[in-house]
Amino acid sequence: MTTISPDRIEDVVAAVREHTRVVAHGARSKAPLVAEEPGAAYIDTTRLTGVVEYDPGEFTFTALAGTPLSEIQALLAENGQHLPFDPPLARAGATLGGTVAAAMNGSGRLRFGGVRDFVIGVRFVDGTGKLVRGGGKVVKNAAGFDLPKLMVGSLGRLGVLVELSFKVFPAPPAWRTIRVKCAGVEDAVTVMAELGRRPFDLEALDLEPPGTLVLRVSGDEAMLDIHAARVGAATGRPFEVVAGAEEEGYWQGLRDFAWVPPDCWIVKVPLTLRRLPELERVLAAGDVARRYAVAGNVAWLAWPVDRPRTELDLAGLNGLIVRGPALDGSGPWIGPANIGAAVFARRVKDALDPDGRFPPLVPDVRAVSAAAS
Amino acid sequence: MAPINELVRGLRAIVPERRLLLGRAQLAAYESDALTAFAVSPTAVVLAESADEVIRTVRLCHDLGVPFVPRGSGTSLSGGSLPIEGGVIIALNRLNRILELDPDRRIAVVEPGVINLHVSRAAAPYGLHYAPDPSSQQVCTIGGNIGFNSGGAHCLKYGMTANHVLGLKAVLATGEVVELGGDSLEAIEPDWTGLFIGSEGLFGIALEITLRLLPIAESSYTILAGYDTVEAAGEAVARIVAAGLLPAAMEIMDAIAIEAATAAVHAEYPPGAEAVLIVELEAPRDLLEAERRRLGDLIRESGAIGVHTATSPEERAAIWRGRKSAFSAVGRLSPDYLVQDGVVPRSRLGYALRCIVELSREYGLRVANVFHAGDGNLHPLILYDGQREGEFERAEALAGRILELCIELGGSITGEHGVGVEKRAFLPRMFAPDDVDAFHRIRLAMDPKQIANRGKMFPSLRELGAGSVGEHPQMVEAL
Repeated sequence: MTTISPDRIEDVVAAVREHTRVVAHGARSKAPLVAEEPGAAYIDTTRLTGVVEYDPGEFTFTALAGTPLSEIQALLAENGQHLPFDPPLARAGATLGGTVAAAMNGSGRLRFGGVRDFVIGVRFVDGTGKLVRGGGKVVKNAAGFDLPKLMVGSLGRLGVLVELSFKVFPAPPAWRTIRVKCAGVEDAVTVMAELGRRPFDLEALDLEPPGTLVLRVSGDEAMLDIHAARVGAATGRPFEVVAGAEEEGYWQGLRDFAWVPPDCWIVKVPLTLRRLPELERVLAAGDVARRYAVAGNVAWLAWPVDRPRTELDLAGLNGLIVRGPALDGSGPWIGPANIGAAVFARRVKDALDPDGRFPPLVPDVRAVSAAAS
Repeated sequence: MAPINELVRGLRAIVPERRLLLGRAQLAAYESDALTAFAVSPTAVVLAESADEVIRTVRLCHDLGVPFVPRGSGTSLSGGSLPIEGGVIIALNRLNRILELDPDRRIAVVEPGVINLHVSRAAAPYGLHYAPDPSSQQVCTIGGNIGFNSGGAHCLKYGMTANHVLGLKAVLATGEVVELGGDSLEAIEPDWTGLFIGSEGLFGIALEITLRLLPIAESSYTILAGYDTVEAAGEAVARIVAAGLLPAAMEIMDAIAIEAATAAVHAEYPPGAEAVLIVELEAPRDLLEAERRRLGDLIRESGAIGVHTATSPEERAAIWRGRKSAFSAVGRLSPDYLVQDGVVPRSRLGYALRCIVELSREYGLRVANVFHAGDGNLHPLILYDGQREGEFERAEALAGRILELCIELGGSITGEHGVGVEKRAFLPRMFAPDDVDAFHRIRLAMDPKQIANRGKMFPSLRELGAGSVGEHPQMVEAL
């Protein structure tokens, strides 16, 4: 296995051009997403680091793809700014590029959107060895196709990310967490649906199964306790308000996936509130460690590595194994491929990676679209 | 291209006679969109009433190699729905059903002809709304918003169309039907939906769109401040942004725009103001007060010469009526105008505005400025009289200089109107040849015959219908 660790963009371009099979990765904090391709050249982007441009008054920055998230977050924090999508795994070494490629969002994406909503510009090396730029460095931009969004969730299968531009937001002055005790999962779903329609500006709305809702609000310190108490009371269920180090520690624990037992894969399952109760029944019966985030839009499962993965397939789930030991070449996807998008996916793949230099997409768009037609 | 009678025969098999427009008089209404400087007569207009009719029309066009242009209400300011000679207009206004509205999942599934504002109206009983609010929201359609990633006054806090679409079903130019994204905020695939939005109709036509709805803000605070100069208003914006406030909207109008809005909707502005700044805060009621105080301090320090605060929903609506009517109101001051849509870094707003004033003098044309200041999104309106020899050309040249300025400052040639016909020549100035080539490869993969909205975005002769397809076209200057 060849591994190349370029520290300049032009070296990434050269590395892609020199090899017929290329697998890109960052710090491997999401190891299962790095394809196992015997004979491929591995491009490790962790030396491709550095903030290229950051003007705090502009609320945007540009950095090389291998830059650690922790470095970006520290820099933004110095200026009272942050990435509102609350990206996970910074302390595990996650890079900016990996966060985009894996579409990783934390619980805090509820209010203002995910990484897709904050990435405004991208430079990547496509499968023809060309350095391509999409988007730009300003917060609003409708010129050309939205390649920054296309790269979100592309898992290195459409190009090697080398540089990214983001918009950022002012960090709130203070936070509170509200823990609400519901009677069970059905009750919790009812309360979540109700809260979703209320104008409380919730930053996060998670469910610790079976019935504990965890809400986060932010704002001016002087008024925040009043606001938090009002939000808690509006649920009509028993609640407590948490502040200070305990409050911040709770959400940091989630970003670190500290609740996941050892020797587990972490599986991300996109979801809606409507499907949540049924999924919860299946997972509870199967004794799977789990939690639900973003108002029921995602479930995170901890799946013991020694438990057969076929059981996950049987549960009718669609998910992605994002963390844990590297996989054995079987691919990180759980459940059936999205047939509806297969034609579109194949056409994008053909345009940007016509020779299949990068690993196949989701799980193999050619096979899927052939089966569909 | 296929003979016209073959095309017409095919279309007659898809829609009844009364929904197939062919005669010159019938087609006249479709020759232009809101970019009125251009007009092209299409061969036919199909008034589709179902997704199936759209799909069959696209397939017919694909089989015959006939270009088509999807069209909603025709409010594009970049010529996005300008017809193609010899082509078909697929009018989507009649696909105007809201198919589903689920307050629990906070989504609405709509057809492309649904009017933007109607989504918010339907969601209002549940305390929800659809956030993107282009000035044309009373008439523009969601399909058009998808095509051009439309923005609006409240993008600063809430983002553009692309930030509010979870998934869509579309017919590609090849006639294939695809389903992208879904109804969850999270996904495990590349963001195909994100790529489709803003593709200017070059991939195909969205048929069903899943929109994300947000709670209506509990309380808001709208303030209108007058300034001696546009630069001073621009500096106030930089100050508010730098202070870490996140208003829902920040808008500036200059003296000409003020004059127009005053005449059109009897809006009232601080006397003697050369520019007005509108700032709107939205927050839960417990939290609004603190933000309001901070904003008040910042406005005071910014040297405002008159401040007006909306104390009722009616006053707030009046402030926005003045702002949202500004484009059409400027139309009263001049027989014709061009609207530009450039973006500059927010810290360069003041500088950009000074340059525009100088350019206006140099070209001898009045320029009104109405813009989304919080985003650095300029909307210079260049006033001209198309009846006067050479004046349109001068207006276009001035518009080009403004776009070049935006590129030089590290900005963009379009914030929310799209490239369309109007800014094709500038795409290769903002992007390197390899970037444009990548765009084009994606376009060719989706639409190998280049029939979907041909002539938009790309400044290529082949895009304009010359020659055969298949090879990479050379990028050339637009006509």
